Amino acid sequence: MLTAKQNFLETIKPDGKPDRLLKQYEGTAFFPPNPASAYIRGNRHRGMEPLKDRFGTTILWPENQVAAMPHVTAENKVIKEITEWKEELIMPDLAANCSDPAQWEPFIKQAEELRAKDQLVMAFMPTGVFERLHFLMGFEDMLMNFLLEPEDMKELCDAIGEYRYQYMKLIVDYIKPDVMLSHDDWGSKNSLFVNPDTWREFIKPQYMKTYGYMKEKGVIVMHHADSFMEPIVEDMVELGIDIWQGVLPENDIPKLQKQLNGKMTLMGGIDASIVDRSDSTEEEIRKEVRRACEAYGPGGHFIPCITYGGPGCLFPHVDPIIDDEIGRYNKETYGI
Amino acid sequence: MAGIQEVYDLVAKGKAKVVAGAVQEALDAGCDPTELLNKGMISAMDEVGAKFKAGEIFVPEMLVAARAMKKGVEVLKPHLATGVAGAAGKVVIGTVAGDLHDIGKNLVAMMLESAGFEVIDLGVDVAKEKFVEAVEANPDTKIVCCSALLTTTMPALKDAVAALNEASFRSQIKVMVGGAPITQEFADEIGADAYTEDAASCAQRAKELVA
Repeated sequence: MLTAKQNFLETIKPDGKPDRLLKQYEGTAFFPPNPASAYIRGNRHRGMEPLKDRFGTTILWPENQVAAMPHVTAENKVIKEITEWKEELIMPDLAANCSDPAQWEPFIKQAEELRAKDQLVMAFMPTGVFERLHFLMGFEDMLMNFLLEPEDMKELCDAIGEYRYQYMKLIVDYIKPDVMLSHDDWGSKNSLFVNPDTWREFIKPQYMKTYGYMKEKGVIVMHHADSFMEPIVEDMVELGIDIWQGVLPENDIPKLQKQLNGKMTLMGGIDASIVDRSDSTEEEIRKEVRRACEAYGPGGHFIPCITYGGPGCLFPHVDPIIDDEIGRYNKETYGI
Repeated sequence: MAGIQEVYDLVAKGKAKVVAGAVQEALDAGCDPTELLNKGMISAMDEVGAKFKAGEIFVPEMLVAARAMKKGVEVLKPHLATGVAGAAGKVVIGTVAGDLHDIGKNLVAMMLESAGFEVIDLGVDVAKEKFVEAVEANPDTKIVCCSALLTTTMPALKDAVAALNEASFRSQIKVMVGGAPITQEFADEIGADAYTEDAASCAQRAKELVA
């Protein structure tokens, strides 16, 4: 029987031989903290007073919310007029503030400790380029500006893409993660937010250099987007994404498995709206997990998982049942 | 009439900078303001919504069309009889208690306005009592739209719909629900009248509900 780490690596190889389905993030150790993250995001915690991140976006995390979120209004948005973005936005200077090796030492040590436990160290890059754009100007302005002011939007995308490249490079060069979990949601549950050609023009180029560097360094690229993204899966492969995490069941997963033929692993498939509810029963959770395993397991290169952008369901009773049901499926299907 | 067709085309293409001038020209040429609104603008937005649903266009194109319509309505409004703008009816909308997400709710509000509704936006984190109070304060409300983005706030959506269902005015209104984790099944379970999966479908369904 393969270890969880070995099984993870086999699952994502185009010609790999995994011996069972992984239980969600099994085999990885999620390791989000680092000096760049602390510098950009600030000290976020539940019940905190509103804070501004280094880009100037107001972030809220009231006691009754499960996660921090941007609070962008007409009054407080950083970029009020896209044609003036160079005057309105002060890009954070990562090189000046996060390049001291001494800052990174404790994080390098922690990562090594995790790796010693036979786990793949999974670093974290939240807030992708698309997400950063709407953090800065609000969702509606962002979408309209792609059409109305394409030149300024392209320049801003390029600037954010370069910032994110620097952010990634610091993490990769210092921590040397095995996996990078990188977030950018590009669609709703039924559709991309923008035309695929608009995405290709503005967003895709921002990932060429960043994901290309990680591929050079042997880092497994796990891109999170709990969205409908069927029209751009080939582009995602081209960008070097090894794992699309968060694949919603609204995507035709069996069709994608055939189309991709192992070029990109699909991770997700479990419908959160069914399983991750305060009133979800064990029977309902098992039924949905079993459905996902049976529907997508045989197609290969699939990791059954909740579609959120990191380990852990919102309600504590859910994860143990998901993992147990995947284990039952493995026992019945693969005998282990 | 050429004026109406031109306004229609400009709204559908999202040409906000020139639509105001076209509306004024059409009015000067003797176009009926109500016809200009209904056949020039709302019909154009119907086409935009249909194209979105068919996957031919995406949210940005829908947004710029709605923005263009808004510019046109600004010119048209002084010429319309009281109540003609928003004549489709009054809609109360909000994201339920404990939920601060507003992107989807704002898109729905925008599409409802473009479909000829008057929208009263209660914002986010709206207590169930606030939905009820808003309808009581606006007895001509036709529809209440409640949104929830997270599975954690699905119970609050259920509570909001229950509060509306218990209200004395319930037979006078329709209740619509939406949000990422919401399904038709859940909408049925909590006693809502309709669920739609995107903003364009919501505007279309709202028109059917008040027809």
